[in-house]
Parts: sequence; structure tokens; C-alpha cells
Amino acid sequence: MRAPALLLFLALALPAQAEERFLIERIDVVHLVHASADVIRAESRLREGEKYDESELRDANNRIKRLPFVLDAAFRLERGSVRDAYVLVIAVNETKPFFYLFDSVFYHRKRLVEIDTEDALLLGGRWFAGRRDVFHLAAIAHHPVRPFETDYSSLQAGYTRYGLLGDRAFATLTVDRVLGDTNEVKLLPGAVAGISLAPKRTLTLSYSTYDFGKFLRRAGRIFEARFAHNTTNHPFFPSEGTLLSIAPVVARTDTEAPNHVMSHALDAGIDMHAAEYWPLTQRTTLAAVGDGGVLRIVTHGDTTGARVAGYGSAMLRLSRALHDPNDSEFQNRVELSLRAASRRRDLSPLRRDTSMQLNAAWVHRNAWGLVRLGLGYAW
Amino acid sequence: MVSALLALLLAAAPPDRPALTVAGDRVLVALPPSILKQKEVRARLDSALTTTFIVKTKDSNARIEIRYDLWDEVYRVKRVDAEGRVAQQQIANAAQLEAWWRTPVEIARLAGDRAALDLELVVLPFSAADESDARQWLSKSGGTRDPSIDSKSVIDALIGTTLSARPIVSYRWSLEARR
Repeated sequence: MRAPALLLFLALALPAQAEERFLIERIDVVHLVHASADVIRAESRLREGEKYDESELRDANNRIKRLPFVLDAAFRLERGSVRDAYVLVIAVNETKPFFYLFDSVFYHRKRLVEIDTEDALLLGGRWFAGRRDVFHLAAIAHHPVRPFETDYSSLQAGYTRYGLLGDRAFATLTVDRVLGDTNEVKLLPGAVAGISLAPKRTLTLSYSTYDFGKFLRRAGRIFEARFAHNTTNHPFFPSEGTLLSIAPVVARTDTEAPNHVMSHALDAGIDMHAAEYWPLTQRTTLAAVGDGGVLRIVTHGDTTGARVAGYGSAMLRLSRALHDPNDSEFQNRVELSLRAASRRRDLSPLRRDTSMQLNAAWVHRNAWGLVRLGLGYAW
Repeated sequence: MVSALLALLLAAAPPDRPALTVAGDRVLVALPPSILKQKEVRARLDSALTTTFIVKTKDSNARIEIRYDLWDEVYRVKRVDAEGRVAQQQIANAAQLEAWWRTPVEIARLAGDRAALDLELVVLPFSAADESDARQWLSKSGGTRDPSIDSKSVIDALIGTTLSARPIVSYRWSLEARR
């Protein structure tokens, strides 16, 4: 291509607004309730009296959106005091001080009504101590599904620091106090660190502990490093894309038998998650989700030996938004799920290791949290 | 002024379906004006910053950019079709903007007599220099959240409720192009 033609091509290929720079004479922050406008201005890294193009304004908008106490931030321009000068108005929607999760599906089974093995309950509050520091306090019903985990309830206090590694990571430290069947262990430490490796790839390191049971003690320490590749188009209700994650897991569990002999187990293996989402219509999505893992379990104590154990589930889910899926305020959905699950848990007297489950659920999500309620049949 | 112009557009209703036409082997799409009446789109257009519309099919993309100039009181618009042809102009008012919006834009090539097209319209704030820029915006919108969507720890709830419920607006249609 000849030079003049190439220059013409490049000129046309550039966006129309590429050369446009806006003189920002003032920055107004509106709709703030708890946070300081100065924090928002500082995080924008924009200065009054300077000129910025749209890519710089977009980057500033992204930086503000990443603040943990900001749910959403929208930029708009208004006329300034003289021609070609502008007032940048930043409308901020703050994060709510309380958060909750209530996710339960009730199943009918012969002679039993049981709660879904993947239900979750928590209620908490948070306090923003600074630009990147958050403290939280929450009551949690732990209801995990992996063999080395167990059910218990706890009160958790935690501290999260955002904006680590140049805004690419966060870290959370927690302490849990078991509610109910406690023993002499008072506080249980935990930690989570999330690192964004690339726009679609993350690494999450976590360490958690449990220790409860006054007469029959059960304790565990779990470490996992989860690498995830996520191309889905929405963090909560994706309608297309793929989510893959794989995590090496090491867990040490101590279980007291009825004869009061402790048995110790060292679990080491791989835990995996895969999900694919297909849009069927504007509001309807089909998802195929698989979870599973393989563990080598070495036990000492009441019984001694080594074995390999597997667990997993496969699910097809049809979900439909009940109103505009673009609504940013809240979402209502209905879901129909068919799941085949194979669990291998040491302590779950009311649940079978394998089952087929069919359920219908209603899901509501807003800025405070998520509620999912469902009814189903298991066989 | 922008508010007044946009107030002329009627209250939001679900957007109509785009219309496909075929000229030779070129498939053209005319986007419905009701897109411009959607709440999120109105808010973006009202910002006096660029609003970018990415029209996507499986194999090609077109792009439309609209910005209202507060001082000159005109819309500055740009259209890049699937072949990369660029057209940009100024538009005096909302009525002319709606007429310009209806103008079909080339989105694909037709190999046979008919073809099924899955069309997606993604609305982005700010200008998008190219498709990779738009993709980057989409992928970054999730922040640093633990991506295990089905995990239900307190950390997920803590971080999950610090994210915007819906970072972008998008629409999707299944259409058929016929000669």
C-alpha cells in the first residue's frame, strides 16, 4: 500500500473521538452516602484543569468501579463555565453495608424431606475502613460437599485488603468461632488470596480450618490453589461462555470415633469445575455444569491404609430471566435443574452417596445478596 | 438539551427485532430505533460521552459510535461496517439521529439463497477503538472476583456484592437472511 493511501486508511480506522480531548474544569461526585468524594476523585487520578481523552476517562471509570465500596460508577459531562470546558459528573452507587445469601432447595424423597446438599446460608455486615480496607462480620452455615469437608456453623470476622499487586489482587484473613457443638478450640484461622493473572484467568489460594465436637471431635485443615479460566459474559448469571477451574488440594482431617480413638487422614488430589453456557433466547440460557475430584487418602489411627476416592456431579440447568436481563438493579429468574451427584462423605447419615435430583427454583439477586429457593424430587 | 431530545423518545419497551435485507451477496441490518429508547442506552447517550454499539455475528462485526457534543449541540456519529468501511458525520437533532440509525449497515456476506444469523448487539460506554478493545472491556468488567460462580463462600458473597449486577447492555436475536 502506498504511503498516502496508508495514511488515509489509518485516519479512517481511528475512532472518531480519538483526537477529542475534554478540558475538565471541575469534578463533581454525586449520590455518595458513606464514602468521601475525595476518595473517588483521588482514585480517578484525574485532575481538574487538565485535558483527557475518552480512553483516559474510561480507565478512570474502571479504577473507581474496582473500589470495593463502589457497586457502579457512571461518568457524564456537563457544560463548563466557558466554551469547550466541561464538568465531569461521577455518579456513584455505593455497596450496601449488609450482605446475605440464602440458597436452599428442599427435596422430597421417600419418607424424608431433605435440604439440597449444596445449600448455603450466610448473613453479614461490612465496614470500609479506608480506600482498600474492609472488615466483615458474618454468620455462616457451612454446607460443603467434598469428602474432606464437613457441616458446621460459625461466626466469622475478617479483614480484606483490595488493590494489591497493582490492583490485580486481594487478600482476606478470617477467624471463625464455631457455633453450637464447640470444643476447647476458640478461634479458627483462614485466609484467601485472589490474583488476576490475565483478564480471563485468576489464581485463588485459600486456607481454611474447622475444629468442633465436644464428645466426638472433628477437625480439618484445607489448602487449595485454584486456577480458573473464565470467558463467561456475566459474573452471576452468564448466558454464554466457558468456566474452567482446577485446584490441587491438600487436606488433613482428624476424626474421633465413638470409641474415642482419633483417626487421621491426609487427602491430596485435584478438584475441578467446568461449566458451559449457551443462550437459547434473549432471556433463556442452557448450562451444563460439572464438578468433581480425585483424592488419595492416607489414614492412620483407628484404621490405617491408603485408598483413592472420587466424587462429582453433573448438571443441566435451564434458566430464564423473568424481566429485562439488562436491569442493573435486580434480577429475578427461574431455573430448572437436573443433577446426578455422587458424593463420598464420611459423616452424612441423612444423605445418600449417589442420587438423581430434579428441582425448580426461583432466584432473586440485588445489591444486598442472593436468595434461591427451590423444590425438587430426588431418587 | 440532551435530556429534552431524548425525552422525545418514548418510554422504554423491549426493543423490536432488527430487519435484514440482502443486496447482492451483502447482508444489511437495520437496527430498530427502540434500542435508543432503552433506559440504559438513554443514560449512556445522555452522558455526552461516546456510546459504542457493537453488532456481532459469528464471523463479523460492525460498530456504531454516537456522541452528543454539548457545545456544538450536534450528534457526532460514526459507523464501521463488516468490511471496515468507515462513515462519520454530524447530526443536528434526535429525529435525524433516528433516521440515520435506521440506515442499514453491512454485517455479513450471503453464500447461498438464505442463511440463519445469530445477531448480538453489545452497548458499551466510551469509544471502542476496535473489537479487541471491546472484548477487553467485557472481560475486565468481572474484576478480581473468584470466578467459581457456583462457590458459595462468605468471600464470594462479600466480593460478589461489590460488583455491578450488570456491567453492560446486550441484545441477541436469531434472524434469517433471504435473497
